[in-house]
Amino acid sequence: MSLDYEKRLEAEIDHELKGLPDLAAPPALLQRVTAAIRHTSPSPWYRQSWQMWPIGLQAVSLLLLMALFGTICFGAWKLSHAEAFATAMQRPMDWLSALGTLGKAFNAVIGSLVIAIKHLGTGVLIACVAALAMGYAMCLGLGTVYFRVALARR
Amino acid sequence: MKNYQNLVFTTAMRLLANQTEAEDISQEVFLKAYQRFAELCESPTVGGWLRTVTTNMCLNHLSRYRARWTFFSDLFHRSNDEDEYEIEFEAPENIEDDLARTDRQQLVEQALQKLPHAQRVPLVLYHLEGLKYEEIAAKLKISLGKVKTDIFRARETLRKSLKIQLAAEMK
Repeated sequence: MSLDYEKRLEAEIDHELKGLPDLAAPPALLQRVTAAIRHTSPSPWYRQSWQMWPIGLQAVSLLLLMALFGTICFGAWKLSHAEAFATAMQRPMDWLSALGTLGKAFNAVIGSLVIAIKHLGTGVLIACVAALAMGYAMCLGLGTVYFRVALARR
Repeated sequence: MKNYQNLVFTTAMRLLANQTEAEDISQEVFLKAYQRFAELCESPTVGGWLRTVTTNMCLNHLSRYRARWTFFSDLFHRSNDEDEYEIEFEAPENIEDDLARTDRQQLVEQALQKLPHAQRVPLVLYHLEGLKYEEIAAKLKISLGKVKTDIFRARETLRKSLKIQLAAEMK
């Protein structure tokens, strides 16, 4: 194709396309947008995230939280130096040691699984990965068929 | 919104060629505009802003939902390029020697809608959105050569389709 032909073709199509008027938006579009705006109207400040609160309330809440945190830290420090606290903590510590045993058992199970996978061999692992990839490709293919058949324009 | 709904809908429709998707995109564009109403209501460039946002949202939509399916649809529809994009128009009831301007515009619009999106999108971006080849290639994440080829094919298809219709009505 000559350069002159391409330029003439470009000018011809440009003239045709730029002469097109705007399409009329469907009347329902305005109603849809209005309904969507009403649905997403802002909620009261106490139902929004902290960043959306007024600045004054953010400052007050921050100070209160810091005071609360400081009180908890001081109280914990005081308690840790009390004899009654040491006695009271004995029972929870026993429960925690039982959890530690459970954790060791879980680690043993995971270790066994890792050793079993290592002994399976590369071929089996490659076959598993290939099966996963084929399953993924099948999903894509079925999705394409659905997309073209169910959503195709008539 | 009443002043710009046709502009937004037209931009979306010409890129997506699907009324339902164009309406969805138009709704999202106006919702975004509503969130920035304070700065847009007195801006003289609101039309350009709406057009740009609509274009970007349409391109995001196309890349998100069609790239994966297009790969497989290309596998299923490997055929001769000349036969692949045949455009068919409904024959008008009364064939006249001279087409009315609105009839011709309707034909052009129909031919544009029937182009495959790989040709229609770069064509619309070049002629109607005023983007350069390099900008189109960057936006669509394709090579410059493919942009030029697709635009040329789209022009050829439109030209053939309109000439075919004209030839039928001259008889």
